[in-house]
Formats: sequence, structure tokens, C-alpha cells
Amino acid sequence: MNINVSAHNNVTLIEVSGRIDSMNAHEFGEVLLGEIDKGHIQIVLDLANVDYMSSAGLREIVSALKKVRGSGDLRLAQPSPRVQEVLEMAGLDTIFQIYPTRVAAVGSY
Amino acid sequence: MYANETHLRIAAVPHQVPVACRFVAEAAVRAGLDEHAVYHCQLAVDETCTNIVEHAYQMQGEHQIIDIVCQAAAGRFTIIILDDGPAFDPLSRPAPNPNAPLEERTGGGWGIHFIKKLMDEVSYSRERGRNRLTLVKRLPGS
Repeated sequence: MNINVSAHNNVTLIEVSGRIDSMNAHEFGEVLLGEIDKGHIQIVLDLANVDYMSSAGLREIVSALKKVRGSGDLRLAQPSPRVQEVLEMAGLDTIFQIYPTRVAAVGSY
Repeated sequence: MYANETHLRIAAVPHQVPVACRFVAEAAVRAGLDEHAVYHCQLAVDETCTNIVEHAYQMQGEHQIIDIVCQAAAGRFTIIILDDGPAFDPLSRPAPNPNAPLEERTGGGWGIHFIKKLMDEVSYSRERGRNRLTLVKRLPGS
């Protein structure tokens, strides 16, 4: 798993690639919560290059969304078909705002 | 033992779970499952083994084992996962609600839900003092 964080005006873009599983989900969650703790509460999570996400990964994004929603948001960009499948199985496709492109997600704030 | 049967024994620790996933993926490919079905098998094994490591053995399973058996026969790819933890039927747990609003979500319970959704058949038994979870994917054309 690789994670890249960048700032786009008032939006924090977090790009992840590779596998998010029970081995590294905690590390992934630490990055999300670390950004929120720095006051970066308008977040876009780009999941285009995540080819595997288990329930451990979903647990981290739900935890981050619960922490930020109200004052900011965590929005998803271009989830890969495999990520989209697990989001739908958990009913999270109706809870997260999901955008077809990174540009659309960043521009939605 | 079937002709198309393979076994793997791992220590019940987090870093061995990906080893089990790779083992099952390779067996699933050999059995003729397509890429999407192989992914489903990997995810189901990941969720099962993670539950065993975290809950059955409470993250202290370095001296405990998980056995994984893969069988391809009669149009079915079968994965059997055995552990020596306390008797626990994961299928008896209430299913989480996919329609629950964000504030009611606690984060747990999704692994079993995924396993049930991803596999064609799932069953649990307690045999000879071991938990035995059986996961089945039907092979193409069967």
C-alpha cells in the first residue's frame, strides 16, 4: 500500500494504491485521522488504484467519516470496481459522497 | 484426500493471513475460477482468518494454528478453514444492517456479512474440538 497526501487549496487529497487489508488498515487509518487532527477536514480519498479492500479498510474510512462529518467531509473519488463492490455490500455507497473523477471530487467542496 | 486437494498450515498471527490468501488464490486459479471469483475467495479467506486471529485467539495465536484445505471436485471449489479456538459459529451472529445510518455504525461484523455475500455456500460445524468453516464457490459451467 502506498499513500500520497497533497493539498489543493482548502481540500486535502489522499491517494492510495495497492491493497488495504487487516495488515495495514491501521496504518491507513492513522493517515486519515492524522490529517483530520491537523484540521484538514475537507478530504478527498482517491481509490482508483486500490485493487483490494477488506472490511478492515472500510472500518477505517467509516471511523474517519464519523469524526469529520458535521464540520467537514470525507468524499471518495473513482473507487475501483473491487472497492465499489465492497462499498455496496456494506451499504456505504449511499453514505459516502462518491465522484467519478478526482477533479469532480476536489471541485465539489 | 482428493486428488485436487491442497493443505496449508499457518500460525494464527496477522502477517500469516496474506500467506493464506495467496495459497487459496493459487488453488482457485488452478481450479478454473475467473479473476473476480478468485478475488472473492481471497477476500473471504482474509475475513475468516482475520476473525480467527483477532477474536478466537485474541491476537495471541503465535503458538496456535489455522489449517486451510482447498478442494476442487464435482464442479465446486471448496475452502475449509479450521481453528482450535473456543467453539464459535460466526454464521450465528446477527447480520449488520447495510441500511444503517452513519451514526449507528460501529464498524464490526462486516467480515462475516462479506463472506456470506461473496461465496455460494457457507457452513459451520464443530468437529473433534475444532471450528470448521466451509466456503464454496461453484466452478464455471457447473
